[in-house]
Amino acid sequence: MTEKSSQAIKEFLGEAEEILENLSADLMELGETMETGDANPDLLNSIFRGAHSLKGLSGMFGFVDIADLSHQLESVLDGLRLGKVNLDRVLIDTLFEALEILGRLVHGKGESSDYTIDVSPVVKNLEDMLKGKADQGRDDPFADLDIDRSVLDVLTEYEEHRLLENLKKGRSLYRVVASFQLATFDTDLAEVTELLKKDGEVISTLPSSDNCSEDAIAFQILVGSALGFEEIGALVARENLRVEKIGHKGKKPQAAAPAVPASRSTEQPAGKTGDATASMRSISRMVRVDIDKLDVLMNIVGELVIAKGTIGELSERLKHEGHTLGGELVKATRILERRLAELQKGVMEVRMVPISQLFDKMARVVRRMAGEVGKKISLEIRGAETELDKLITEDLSDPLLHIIRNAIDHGIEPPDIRLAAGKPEIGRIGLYAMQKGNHVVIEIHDDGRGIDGEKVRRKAIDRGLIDENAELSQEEIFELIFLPGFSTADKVSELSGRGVGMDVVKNNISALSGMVEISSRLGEGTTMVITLPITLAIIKALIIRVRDKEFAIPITSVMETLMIERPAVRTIEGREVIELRQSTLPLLRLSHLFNYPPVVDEGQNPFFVVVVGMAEKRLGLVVDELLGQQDVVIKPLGNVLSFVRGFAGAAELGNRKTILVLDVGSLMSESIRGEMSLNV
Amino acid sequence: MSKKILITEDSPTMRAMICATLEALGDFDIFEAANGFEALRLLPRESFDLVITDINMPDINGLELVSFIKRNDQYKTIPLVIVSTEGSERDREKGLKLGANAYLVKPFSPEELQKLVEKFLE
Repeated sequence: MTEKSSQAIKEFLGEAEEILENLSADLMELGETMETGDANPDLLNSIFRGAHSLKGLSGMFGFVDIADLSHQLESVLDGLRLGKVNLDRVLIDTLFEALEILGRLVHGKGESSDYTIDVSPVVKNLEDMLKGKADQGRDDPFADLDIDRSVLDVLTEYEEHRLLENLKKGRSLYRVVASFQLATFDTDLAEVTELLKKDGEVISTLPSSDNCSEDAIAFQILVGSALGFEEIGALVARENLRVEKIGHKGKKPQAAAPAVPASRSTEQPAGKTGDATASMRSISRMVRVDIDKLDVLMNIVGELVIAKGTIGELSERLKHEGHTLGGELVKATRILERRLAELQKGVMEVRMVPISQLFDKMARVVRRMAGEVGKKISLEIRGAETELDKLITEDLSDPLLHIIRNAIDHGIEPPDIRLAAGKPEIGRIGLYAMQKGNHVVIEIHDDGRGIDGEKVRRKAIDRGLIDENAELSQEEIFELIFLPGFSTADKVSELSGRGVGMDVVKNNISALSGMVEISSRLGEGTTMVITLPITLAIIKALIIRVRDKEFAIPITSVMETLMIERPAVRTIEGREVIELRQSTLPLLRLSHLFNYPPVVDEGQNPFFVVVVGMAEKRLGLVVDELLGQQDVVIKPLGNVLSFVRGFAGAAELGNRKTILVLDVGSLMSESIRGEMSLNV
Repeated sequence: MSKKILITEDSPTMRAMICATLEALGDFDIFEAANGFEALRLLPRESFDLVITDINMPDINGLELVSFIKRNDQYKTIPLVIVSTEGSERDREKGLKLGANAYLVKPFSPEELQKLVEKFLE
């Protein structure tokens, strides 16, 4: 099959990427079990199957390089699962190397199907792993066992190997025979196998329709277990199930005894079996969807939200003007609004993916880089199930990678220095995610050397970024790291000094309407906290007016709105603040920020303050008027305006007016540094 | 009435390719199963004219599915083709011994698969 449509190739790439991601996660786990000793056979088999599928697929698509490499990978993994190849560090490293090249190949094919890399060096390495490990011819090793031929005949070579391994370990073999209703057999069977796996290994599962009613199916499950016959029987005791011990020929196997009398009816109430069409519908429940298609869908929902806004406004006007249908139209619009919100939520949910996809990638980076720089690092991951918009996850990849690289390269000390400093030899990086309301908070922590605030200050002075005498808080000093061109490393290293600074990290996160904060203690470690909205696209916004211009503030960042009398405003170090529930809230006058000329009566009347917050920070935005809440669809400002800071994008309102959406995260961090002004 | 074919294969892309190859050949009713369980569910629902199955699958392997089909009076006459990457010679022999009617090695050309299908669906 040579001529392939681009759609087919896309599907191939999607599946190949998925296989590689799973393979990589499984290999990580295998690497860990290597240290603890016994590798999980299910895990080994799953890794083998991944390589096997990739080989089959790439072969069909004529991608010879991927096929060659995955073929070799499969052979080694087959040897590994069959116990012909030893599991050691060199093997794991070689497997990872192969995966990385496969990843690059798959990625490259996405750009151009002609993309290729010379795979021969790694193929050779894999071949070396197999050398001298030829299969020793075996006589029928099961001749002595009292196992049904029908069971032996369906064992793949791998399953035969597992059977022998179980015998070698001195485990007993059991045959569990169970029959289940056709409607629910998969879940019932899964229940039984899960129980069996707790104290043993399921070697094979043979379905059979012998001695079954028409709507039932029987299974013979071959299990190796250290448990005794009685214990196994007790473990899986249920209706229509019996356990038999498989003995050696000549020896008398234990009497076959049903765990529960099998004489009970195998029939189930008629209602439970379900009809044919219902069962047909239940298969293939997953759909793979191109994210571009979801984007189109999301955009349509966005347009609908705007259209609804217009209809809402018109119907309110009709009602106001006394038209009889106005009121009914308003009601109808409410229903439309609710349904639209559901639709929006539904589309949004489809786009959500667990952040584990991203964390797993980071785990690979930590693993690889730690070896490269000769450091020992353990990674702790928490909250990997937290879900985030797929596109945000993708765009978060680079900033997160940079932070992790920094932690490994500049943060964690080499083992000798750590030991000398009285720290454990193995450095620790923590990667935590959690959902907080409409935000996802990601924390990257390392227990390395921390950031030297004084050093940062000196560097900022040297570069003319701050004044020699400027008094900065610890927090303000760390913020300096995000300035363009700032680097705390004395020399640019191969790993993290690739001309990309923390300013890029910050800009990338700001582009996602998120913010990043640093805290650090010298000698103890550094923590970076990234706060992101769960989703972009459609948001609820508070529309405000500053002079004659309207702006939108994402409602997720708005804590409350206040009306403040002038005398309540105090000045601390030249900055306006108010007292709010025993804490000091700094104010940011948007009219100053946007460089509007001052008006005459400023300073007389009460004014509105929108208290915005993100992470632990609060800021009061001074505005002229609060115009109410509205759904808005955020559109990016585009490349031409990419240098503009302080705005998350533009939004269209129901009245066809386009306004700017404030980026609360960047406003807050800029305001901490003061001296900010934007030209609008 | 168009012929009914059941494809059991855990790779969605591979399934799609086999479907496309078959669809190019004629008007078939194609049923897809992503694993052995789904195949076991589908078997009693339709009267299939051909089954195509992979070997390396989770839970129930292809050999177990072949054995199930070929030992069942209701299904044993359905022609069955194993499609798998060249691998263990023993698995392949076992498949044929269990009653599989043919074994096709991945990667295969559309013509190879079409030839087999034509042979069994005549």
